[in-house]
Amino acid sequence: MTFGQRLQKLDRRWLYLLTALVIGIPFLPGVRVPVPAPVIQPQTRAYYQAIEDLASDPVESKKLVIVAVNYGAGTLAENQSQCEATLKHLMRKKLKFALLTFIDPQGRDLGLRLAERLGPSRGYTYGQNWCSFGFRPFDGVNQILKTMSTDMPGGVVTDAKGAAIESLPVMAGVRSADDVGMVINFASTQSIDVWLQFFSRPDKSALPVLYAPTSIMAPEAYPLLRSGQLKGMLTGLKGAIEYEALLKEPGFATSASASLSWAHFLIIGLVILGNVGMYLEKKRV
Amino acid sequence: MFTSKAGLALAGFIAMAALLSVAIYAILMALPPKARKPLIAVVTFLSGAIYALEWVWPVDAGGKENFLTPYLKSFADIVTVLQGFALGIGIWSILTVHLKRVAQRRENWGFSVVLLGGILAMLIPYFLKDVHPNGYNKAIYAIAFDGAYNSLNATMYSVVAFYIVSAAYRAFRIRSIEATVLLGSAALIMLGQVALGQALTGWIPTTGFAANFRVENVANWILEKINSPALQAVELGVGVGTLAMALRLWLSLERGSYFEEDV
Amino acid sequence: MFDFLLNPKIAQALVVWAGAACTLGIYSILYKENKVFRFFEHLFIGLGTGYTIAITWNDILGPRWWKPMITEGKWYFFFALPAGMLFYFVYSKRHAWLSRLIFGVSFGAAAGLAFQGFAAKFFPQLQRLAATRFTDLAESKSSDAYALTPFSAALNNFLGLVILSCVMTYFFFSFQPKDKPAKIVAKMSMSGRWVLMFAFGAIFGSTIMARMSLLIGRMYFLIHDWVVVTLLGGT
Repeated sequence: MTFGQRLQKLDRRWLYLLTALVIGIPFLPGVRVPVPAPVIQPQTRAYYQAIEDLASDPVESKKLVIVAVNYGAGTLAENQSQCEATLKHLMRKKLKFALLTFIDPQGRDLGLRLAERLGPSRGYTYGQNWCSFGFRPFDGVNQILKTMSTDMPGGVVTDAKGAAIESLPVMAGVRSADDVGMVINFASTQSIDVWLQFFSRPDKSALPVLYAPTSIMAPEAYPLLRSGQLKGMLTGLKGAIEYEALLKEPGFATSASASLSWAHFLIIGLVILGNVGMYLEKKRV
Repeated sequence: MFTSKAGLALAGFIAMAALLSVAIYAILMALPPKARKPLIAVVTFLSGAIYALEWVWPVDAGGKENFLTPYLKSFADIVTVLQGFALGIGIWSILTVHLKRVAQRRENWGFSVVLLGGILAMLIPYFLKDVHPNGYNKAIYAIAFDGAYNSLNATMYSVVAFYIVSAAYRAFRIRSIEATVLLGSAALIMLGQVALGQALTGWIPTTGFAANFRVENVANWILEKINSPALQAVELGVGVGTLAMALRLWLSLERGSYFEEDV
Repeated sequence: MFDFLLNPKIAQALVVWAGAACTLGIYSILYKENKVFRFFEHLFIGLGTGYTIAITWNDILGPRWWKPMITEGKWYFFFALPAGMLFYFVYSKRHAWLSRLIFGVSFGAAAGLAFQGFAAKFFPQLQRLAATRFTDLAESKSSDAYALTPFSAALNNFLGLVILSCVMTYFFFSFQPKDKPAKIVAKMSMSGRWVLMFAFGAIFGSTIMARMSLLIGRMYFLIHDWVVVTLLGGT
C-alpha cells in the first residue's frame, strides 16, 4: 500500500484517539502546555467595559442587572465559563443582579447553583444582593418581558423559591425597566431577539444589552453588534478566555486555552493531510 | 360568576364546567363537515388577531399600552398551558412503543425497560425532593440529574466533535475554487480564534497599517465585514419568508397535505 | 442502610462516578456500535422524558393551571383541560379535525407574533443600513478598532452594502440571462454565491470551536473531576 493509500484508508478510530490525546494531555496534572496570552477582541473588551461603565455611573450602578441564564448542561463548557466570569465581575463591582431563565429549565438550576457557590466568598447573599426569577416558558415570555418593562413585580410575581418578588430587599425600588441597568443574556439557542424586541425602558432611554452565545451562534449576532443593539459580546469559550484575562481571574476557560488551540491546529493539520493523501493518490492513478 | 370559589362551591362550579365542556364537545362532534374548516379558520384568525391588533392599535395618552395590552399576558398564559397539555402526545407515543416492546418481548426489549426505568428514575426523585426535602432524596436527585442526565446531555453534544475531526480528514477536499475559498476562510477564522493561531502573526505590530494583517484582525474582518452582511441578507430573506408563511397560516391560506386534508 | 448518602463527600463522589460512567458509556460508540452505548442512550431518553414531564408540571401546568384552579378557586381555569384534550383527538380517525382547532390556536398565536417580531428585529438593522454613508468614519474613531484609515472605513461600508445586495439577489432572483439587466442580476447573484462561501467558512470555523469546547468540557470532567479529584483525592 502506498503512503497516499494508507492516508486515505486510515481508521477513523485513530483520529478519535488522537483528538482525545490532544485535548486531554494539557489537563493532566503536572503537565504545563505553554500557550500565549490571548489577544482581546473588540467585542469582548466592549463587554467588559460596559460592566465597568455601569459600575462607575452613580445612578445606573444602583439599578438591577438582569442575567438571563438560557443554556443547559449541553453547552456548559462555553456558557457556564462565560456566566461564571460575568457573575464574578458583577460581584466584584457590587452590582445587584437577578437571574432569569426562559429557554431551558436546566438553566434555572445551573445559574442558581453557580451564584450560590460564588456568592458567600464575595459577600453576596440571596435576597439581599441577588435573586432568581426562576424559569418562565418561552411561549409566554414575550408578554412577560413586555409586562416587566412597565410593571416588574407584576411580570415576575414570584422568585425561584416561591417568595413574592416584592418581599426581597434586592428588588426594593425596582418597578420597571427604568430601574434595570443592564441585560446580559447567556444563550445556547436563539433568545436575544426577545430582549431586543420586547424589553425596553418606558422612558425610551437606551438599555445596554450584552450577549454571550455559544460560538455557533456568534456569527449571526454580528449584525446586532454593528447596529448597536448589542453593547458587547463574548464569543463562546474563546470569549470566556479573553474575559478571564481582562478580569485577571483565571478559571476553567483559561485552563482550556491550550486544549482549544491544539484542537484547532489538529483539525487544520488533518484537512491538509487528507488533501495530501488525495493528491498523492491522484498522482499515482 | 367568575369570582374565586372555595370548598363545595368550587367543586360544584368545576363539575358544571365539566358538563358544559361535554356539551361543547357534543356540539363540535355533531358539526357538519362544511362548517368545520371555517371554524378552524376563525379560531386561527382570532388567536393571531389579538397579537397583531395589539401591535398596530394606537396606544393611549400615556404612550404605553392600548385596550388589548392587559389581556396579552393572560392569553400568553393560556397558550402556554394548552401547549403543556400537548406534551402528553409525545409521552403517549413513547410509552405505547416501549411498553408494547416489553410486553411482547420483542428484540432489544431490555433497552425499553431501561428507558421506562429512566423516566421513573427522574420523575420520582424530582417530586420527592420537593415533597420530602431530606438528605436522601436530594442526594438521589443529584445523582439522577447532575450525575447522569447532565453528563449524558453534555456528552451527546460533545460526541459530534469527534465526527467533525473524522469529517475534516475524510471529506474536506479541495476540488474546486469555491471549496478552497470556504476552507481558507474557515482556516483563517479558526487560527484567529485561538491563542496559538494568534501567536503566528504576533510579531506584526498591533498598531499601524500592518496590524490589519494580524490573523485575529483578518478573522475579525471576515466575520464583521463579509460574514455579517451576508448573514444579514440570509436572515432578511428568512424573515420575509417567515412573514409570508405567518400571513398564510394566520389567514388559513396555507396549502399542503395537512392543511388540505378533508375534515 | 443508605446513610452514606447523607455524607456530602460520598454523595458528590457518587454524582461524579455516575457522570463518568455515563460519559464513557456514550463515548464507547466511537469504538464501535455496542450494547453499552445503547443502554446509556435509552437511559438518556428516559431521563430526558422524565425531566420534561416534571418540568411541564412543575413550571407550567402546576403554577399556571392547577394552583389557580384548586388553591385560588379560579374554577373557570378548568376549561383549559377540555381545550388541551383536543390535541388527543389526533388519535381518532373520525374526530381528528378537532385537534386542528387547538393547533390553529398555536399557529395563529405564533403567526400574530411574527409581525412584531420581524419589525423589532429588522427595522433597527435596516435603519442603520439606510443611514450608512460611504464616508461614514465611525469605525476609525473607535479606540478599539484596529488601525484603519478613513478611506478603509468607507470601503468597508461600501463592501457591506454590495455584499448585502448580492446575497439578497442570489436568494430572491433567478433569471435566464437573456437581456442585459438580467445578465447584471445573474452576475450579482453569482457574486453573492461566492460571498456565501466565505460566510459558510466562517460559520464552519465557529462551529468547530463550539464543538471542541464541549468536548474539552467533558475531557476536563473526566480527567480533573473524576480521575484527579475523586479517584486520586487531589484538588
